[in-house]
Amino acid sequence: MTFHAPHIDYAGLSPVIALTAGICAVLVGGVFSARRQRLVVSVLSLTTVAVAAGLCIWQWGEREDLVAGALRLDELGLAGALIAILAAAVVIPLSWREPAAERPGSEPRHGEFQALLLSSVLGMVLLAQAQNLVVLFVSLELLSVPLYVLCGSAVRRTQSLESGLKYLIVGSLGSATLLYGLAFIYGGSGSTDFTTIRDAVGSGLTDDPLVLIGIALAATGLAFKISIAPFHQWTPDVYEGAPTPVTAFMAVATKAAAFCVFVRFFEVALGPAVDNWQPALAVLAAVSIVVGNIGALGQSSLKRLLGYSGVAQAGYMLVGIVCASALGVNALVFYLAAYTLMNLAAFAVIVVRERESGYGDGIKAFEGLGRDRPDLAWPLTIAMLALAGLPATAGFMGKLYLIEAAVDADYTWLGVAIAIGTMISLAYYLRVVAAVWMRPAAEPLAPEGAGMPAMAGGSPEADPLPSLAAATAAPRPGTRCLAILVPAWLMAGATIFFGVLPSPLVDWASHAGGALTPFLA
Amino acid sequence: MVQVAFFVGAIGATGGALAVIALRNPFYSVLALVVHLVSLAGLFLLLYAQFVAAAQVVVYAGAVMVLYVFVAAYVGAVEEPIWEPIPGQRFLAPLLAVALLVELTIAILGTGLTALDSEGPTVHAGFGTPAEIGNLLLERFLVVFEAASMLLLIAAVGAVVLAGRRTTPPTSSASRPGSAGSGSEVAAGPHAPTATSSLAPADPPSAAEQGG
Amino acid sequence: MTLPFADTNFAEATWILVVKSIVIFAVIFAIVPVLTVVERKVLGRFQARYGPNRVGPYGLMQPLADAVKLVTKEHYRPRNAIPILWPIAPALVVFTGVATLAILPFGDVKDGVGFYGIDVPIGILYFFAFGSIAFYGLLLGGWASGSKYSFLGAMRAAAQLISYEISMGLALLGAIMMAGSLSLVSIVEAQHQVWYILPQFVGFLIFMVAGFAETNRAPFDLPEADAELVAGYGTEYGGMRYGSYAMAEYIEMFVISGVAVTFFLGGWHGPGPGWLDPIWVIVKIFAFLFLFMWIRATLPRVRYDQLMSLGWKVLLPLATLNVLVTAVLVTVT
Repeated sequence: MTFHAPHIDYAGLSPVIALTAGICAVLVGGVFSARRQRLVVSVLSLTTVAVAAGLCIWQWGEREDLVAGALRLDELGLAGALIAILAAAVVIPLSWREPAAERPGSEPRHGEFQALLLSSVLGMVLLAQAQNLVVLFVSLELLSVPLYVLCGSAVRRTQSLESGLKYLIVGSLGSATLLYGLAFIYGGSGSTDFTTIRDAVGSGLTDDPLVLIGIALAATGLAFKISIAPFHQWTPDVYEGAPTPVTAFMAVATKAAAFCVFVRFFEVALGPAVDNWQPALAVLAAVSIVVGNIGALGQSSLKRLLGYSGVAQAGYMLVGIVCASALGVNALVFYLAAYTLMNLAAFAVIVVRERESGYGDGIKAFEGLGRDRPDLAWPLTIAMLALAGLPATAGFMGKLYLIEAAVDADYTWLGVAIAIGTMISLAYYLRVVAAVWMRPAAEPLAPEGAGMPAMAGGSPEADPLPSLAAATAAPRPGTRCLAILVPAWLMAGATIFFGVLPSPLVDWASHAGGALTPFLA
Repeated sequence: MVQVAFFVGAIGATGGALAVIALRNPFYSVLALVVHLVSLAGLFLLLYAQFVAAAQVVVYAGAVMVLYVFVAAYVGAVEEPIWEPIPGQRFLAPLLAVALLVELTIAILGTGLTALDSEGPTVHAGFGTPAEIGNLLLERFLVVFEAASMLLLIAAVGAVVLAGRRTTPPTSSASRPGSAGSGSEVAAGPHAPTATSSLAPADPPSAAEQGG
Repeated sequence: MTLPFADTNFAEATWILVVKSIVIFAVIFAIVPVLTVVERKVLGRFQARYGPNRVGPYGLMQPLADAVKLVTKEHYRPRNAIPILWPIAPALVVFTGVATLAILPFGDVKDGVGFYGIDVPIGILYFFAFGSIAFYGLLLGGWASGSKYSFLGAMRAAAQLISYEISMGLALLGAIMMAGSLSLVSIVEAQHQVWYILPQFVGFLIFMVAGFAETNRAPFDLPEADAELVAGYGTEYGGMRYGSYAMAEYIEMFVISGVAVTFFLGGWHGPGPGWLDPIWVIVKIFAFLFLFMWIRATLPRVRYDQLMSLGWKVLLPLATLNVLVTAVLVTVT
């Protein structure tokens, strides 16, 4: 048996290599920096993220297969990678004061926290470029496993552990379903490469029951990951329980990477069977829009509200895949970028308020924000209005392009569904805006901290409570935290900028859509 | 001969899987799962996948299930009902499962692929040997191989984050043995020195009594 | 009639396989009783006493007397024991031990007959696969007995087994990389110039330490530490069921020694004509068995935390380093 090493294009693979090296550096840096851990680790990981982003931009425009066809270097994959990297770059400063990483009364865990975050990014970069069923699955796991841990990483909060466990179980179920589907598709087509599958499916397998059930199961598995209704039940609970920076990362980056692979898998590998999956995905998108928007109406926790809103937004974005056209893919990528900007701005504000006020992420925490903290109120307002799709925001442009693509692909009723969903969504987004600007501030509660609960699963003897002094050293109300404010304002500003001047982002997205043009009708 | 082996393996696999969900005692469920996995390994052997069969036994029966057995034996017989009563779940869940079974049956019986109803594919000599799998991993699936190694590393880190317990707050003197402390925790998996040497379960035979 | 998994480098008729398995089985079952009496004699010498010398000349008939005693004892079952699992457990341990013997090579192919049970391409993985099943024999025995001592012993055995299996596998990996094959026959053939004990000395040491822990032998016999746990997982067993556990321990010692001989001592290679090959293997194995007894007589039992920290903090990093160094050397040369 002879060994033929595959050709490796190191330039094309460089973002992946940079991230891998960065993860190792962050882990080692976290171990060897006892006192200034946060500084050392953050410098390392932000450098990694910056280098990876730079390499992605350097490779922008290249189109080739990497390492024996496992990955596809094109604009779509790089766009997904850039969105995930942007999310990580914003979330790293958000996590600086996070109890899950800071561990009051105990040794900080910034090294592990950020290494987990970066490895999830690595999984996303691989996933967005995956062109092979095996790569798809392994990178999906590489994306998910760190997130399971991060969700449960605030080990002193029961909700965090519950969220981690819930995400683990539901995520594993989704992965198993996906794997089952991939196995059927492999069994039917006899290959794991997307392009070969396309040829095999195209040559008479489009109506084969074996391939069809494979498509159904794979779509279900991916729908779990991007929280499409009716596979969304985990979303609000996990979003609420997870540490807020993790929620922010999960909400945007996971969606971006999973949608990239969703579109690549369905348009490239399963493209010939488009007539079979198109109606099914259309129904899923419509259900998701309805369920997400109606579910969000009654929520008082802002994280839960954004969770349900994420379900609805995933429904909007799925329309981009249903269209099965270059226009649809362009609209999807544009919306992914816009969604990232608006959501990160909103979550940054939630992170601050959650620590300042005693109400956690409840809507009460945001009452009177407009008068007390206009520097926080504006980004939140812009984010909410953009998510609702008001004109002059990126969210409006995104929805417009999605509706345009839907009408173009003869799915006008889906366009109507988006419009109706947007109208429903105004009810809850505006409720937040009203609370910010029109209500008096709620009575501040004393921040919790005196009663630090024991570590879940630990025994009181083996796990002495941390000293109170350390536990109550939470930031006082009114603390200006530039590391959070600056990203929040940047994201909100970008939301407005691309709402007024969408052409740079549109060009960028159309490059990504152009990568799939050879496969689209 | 091959048919007999197939039916032994298939009955073991199906029976084991059914027993996992049917048995009340978690320890028995775990043992049934072991039977299921070993039977699957037998089926892999029949498909000429010797390496996969051995890996299945070594990894699943030998490593993963051992941890399950530990947990089931220590935590043991939990008196609580296994499921949370969601209204209608008892009837809806089996219904959906049966629906999935029917769909899969239709898919497998209705497919036009010829390999499913004849003798199966012929394999070349050396199929499924470690050498061939090694070549596949380092040639076609190199990226996957590396990504999987990263996944394992990060899973170990995650286990440390969730289970590691360094309660000593950082002191001003930087004399903390950083690398050693972290290294030992990576090694300290589920059978960490402290965890196992302090094994004094309140009532070890209770699990056994429950079983009997 | 062919089994799908038996098509290896060298195919044989089924009847030859059957005869071979009977021969191997018979030889091992003749060796185990001899081992028991040898161990007791050797231990006696180490402790400046005679050892058994009443039954037969020099006490050589002692195992026969033991066997008769064990077989004729009452099959007593404690009330707490679980009916089916409890008797299965010892059988499982013996089964896996005997099954592993099949891959030990006692010689190469002579006159169309390979001097080994089967030569599987997965080679040593077969050994590890059955080793993992043997774990369930110990664990079931301890758990199904329904007694504290048994349970604690079983848990210790299980933790010890899986902790050291990793180091053991990594220790063998060096030799596997040098030979470029997993098949035990090929590994022996690759040693016709130099036995791997020289280039792979670190791997050999790690393997032997891990092997002592795997077989639950002194100084790692914590699962049956008589001062703390009566007899560990075997506490509630009597008669031939207890005898099965004892027998399995000897078989496992034999297997570990056999694997060590195959991987590090050149297997059947030795001076003299070809028909001496199996004799050489047996002689080398007995040298290792003597080492097992010698160490049992010499070293005190370690503490449990020492056992675990040795396994995870010393052997595992060392074995990994060994693999790394070997990989570099194999690639360079």
